[in-house]
Amino acid sequence: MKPILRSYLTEVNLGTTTPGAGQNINIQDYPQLRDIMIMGVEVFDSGEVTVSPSGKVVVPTLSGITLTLLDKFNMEVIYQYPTFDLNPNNTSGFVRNFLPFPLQLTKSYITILSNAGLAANQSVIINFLYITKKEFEKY
Amino acid sequence: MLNNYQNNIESTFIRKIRVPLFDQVGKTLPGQRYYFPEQPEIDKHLVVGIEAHLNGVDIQQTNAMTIGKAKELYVAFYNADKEEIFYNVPLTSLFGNAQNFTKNRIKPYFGKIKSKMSYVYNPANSTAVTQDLFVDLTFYLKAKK
Repeated sequence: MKPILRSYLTEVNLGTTTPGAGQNINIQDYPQLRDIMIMGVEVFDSGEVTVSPSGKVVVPTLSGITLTLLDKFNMEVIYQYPTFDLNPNNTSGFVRNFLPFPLQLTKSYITILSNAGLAANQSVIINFLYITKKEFEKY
Repeated sequence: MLNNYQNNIESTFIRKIRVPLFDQVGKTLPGQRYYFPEQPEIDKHLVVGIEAHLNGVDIQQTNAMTIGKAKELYVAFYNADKEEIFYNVPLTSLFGNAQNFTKNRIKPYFGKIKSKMSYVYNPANSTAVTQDLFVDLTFYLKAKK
């Protein structure tokens, strides 16, 4: 695993009704994650965290959810990555590291492939491992 | 470049701390932050890894963390510039030896930390705690060049 230089935990809420299969849900804006180079991602389900930082119930399964991350040029650099494989609990404790790229968080999204086991108002917990662009130039 | 950054960074020494998850009257309230005790040894050295411990798995100590409560807790680490460098890290993701979690990996968090600004967060809607619990954290440190 590469050293984790910075990390920021985010939350994607499924909304007030259970999302349908094929639905995309955008990740909201987090000011701390603007102008950053993303280096890795972790995703958690209720096996690791039962309550989100905002007090929401965490999704019980990740197998029906994928993650798409776009860079600042609107390229889908990570396209529909199964979030189950981004959970360190399922990858022998390892974190998935990427070649750093400039993340555009607000155009990035999760896709619900199957809503089995999911319910309204649950949250997906995503931990972004990153470095600021200013610091990136130093390495 | 970052992709040439070495994977394994050696630690030269280790410090373990206990963060109390209760206030002066022994209450653990939802939506509260429980700050770390000040640790100058951690503050002046470079952190190269952080590990948490779980009662009955890799530590046996009175009032050590239980798995049920650990699943509700988050840890935020700040640096000397008051930046949240590792924000709301799920406590369970820091368990180095707990079965079914990180499976013997120590998370390679890397940077300088200001201990007295860092805290454990007990979110709103979390379950009530009936005993005084502590969060046990081990910091893998390296003297800064």
